[in-house]
Amino acid sequence: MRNIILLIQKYRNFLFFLFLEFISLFFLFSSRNSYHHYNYLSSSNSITSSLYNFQYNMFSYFSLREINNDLLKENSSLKNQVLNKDMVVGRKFIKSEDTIYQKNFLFKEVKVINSQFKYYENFLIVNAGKKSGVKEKMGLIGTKGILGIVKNVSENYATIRPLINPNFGLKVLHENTNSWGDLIWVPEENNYQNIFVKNIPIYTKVKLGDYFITSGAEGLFPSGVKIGKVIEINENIEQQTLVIKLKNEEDFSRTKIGFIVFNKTAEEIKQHLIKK
Amino acid sequence: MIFEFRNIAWFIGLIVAQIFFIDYLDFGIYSSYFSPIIICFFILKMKLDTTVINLLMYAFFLGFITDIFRNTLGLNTSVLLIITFLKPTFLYSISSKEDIEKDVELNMFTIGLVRYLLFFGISIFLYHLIFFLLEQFSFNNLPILFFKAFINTISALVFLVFLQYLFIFKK
Repeated sequence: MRNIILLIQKYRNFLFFLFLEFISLFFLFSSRNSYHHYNYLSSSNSITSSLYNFQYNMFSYFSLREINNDLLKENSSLKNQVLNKDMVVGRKFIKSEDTIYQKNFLFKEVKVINSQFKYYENFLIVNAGKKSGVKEKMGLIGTKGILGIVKNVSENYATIRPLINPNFGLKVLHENTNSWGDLIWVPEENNYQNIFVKNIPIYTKVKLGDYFITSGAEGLFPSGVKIGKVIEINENIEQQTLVIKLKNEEDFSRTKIGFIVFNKTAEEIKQHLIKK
Repeated sequence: MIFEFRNIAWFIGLIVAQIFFIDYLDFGIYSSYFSPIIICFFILKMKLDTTVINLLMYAFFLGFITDIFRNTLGLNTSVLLIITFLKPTFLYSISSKEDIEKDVELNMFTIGLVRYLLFFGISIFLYHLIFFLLEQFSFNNLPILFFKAFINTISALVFLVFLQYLFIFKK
């Protein structure tokens, strides 16, 4: 017994190191591999987010001109639609007086107070949380295209998993041919400005400059929101598919505003997805 | 007491510099190659007579707080602990035990520029390399990882030289 205590005393530094290392590796792998996320140990907790918010308030002044320009452009396109007295539902336009028409999506404007874009796994933080009705697995769109999906929610803030995260996955549509593809961001090959679309059949006629848009199938986003423009097309002969590189519509290094998508029929869609 | 206060200031200062300054630097499409981590300076600069247990505790909390901000729970912590544990090995591989006084903080003014570059260079390079390997969790693209670790080490060293001139340098 005495020998054991002596042994522990002799190697106490190493044992303490092993103990702490074990804790940190436990955190590392459990936060990655399980769906049980540590809400209170991520950047959406109140302390870290309020610090990020403080920093946002200090520095957002400098990018007001860009934000203004983005909003002006969006405003003009919205004005176009309103003046034509059409409402966008999906990819087809219907008249707003249509009685069958029911408002499906609601948007809540949020500020992106922190945007990571250069890491292996990137995250955004927005200044809306449970109090505003934000829940996990809601979509976030920017002024030009989609940004990401809500991952964690705290009282006043939410963490978003953006397109530029290897764990992000979404079914997307090719605008011209309506072919389905999978959106995948590969950290080793992509930077924050581009993303891959894979699993599109090789016979699909995709041209440079075509757009990929959301399908709306999972109820996260309205259909028809732009994702990116084709800048490179490669063929995967073995699998008979195309590997397409898109230039993201949104610039994640300077994104400042976004809109959380509230889908009124989300529960209904979820039931169907589970049955499948 | 003054020593304690200075340590606390370095602890908080490094985290703030890391999270609110370095992480925000934008180099366009090359940004993914440029994400230096400087928090390990806190551990590396500590006096040699600091006990290992204390050092490990500092490393754990320093890494943990940084991880919470960067959404990389456990990643910085585990790498920082490894570097803390290997610190004496690195130091004595570049100099003999008598060369460096035990009650002096290690920085480029006390150990000299060459030793600073060697000791801090090796430690920070290894930090980045283990960090990227753990982050990716595979041995794919090893040359790119080495390149990234190298670039980030150099930029971290340069940034730390600035910090030391600002806050440590005395005529």
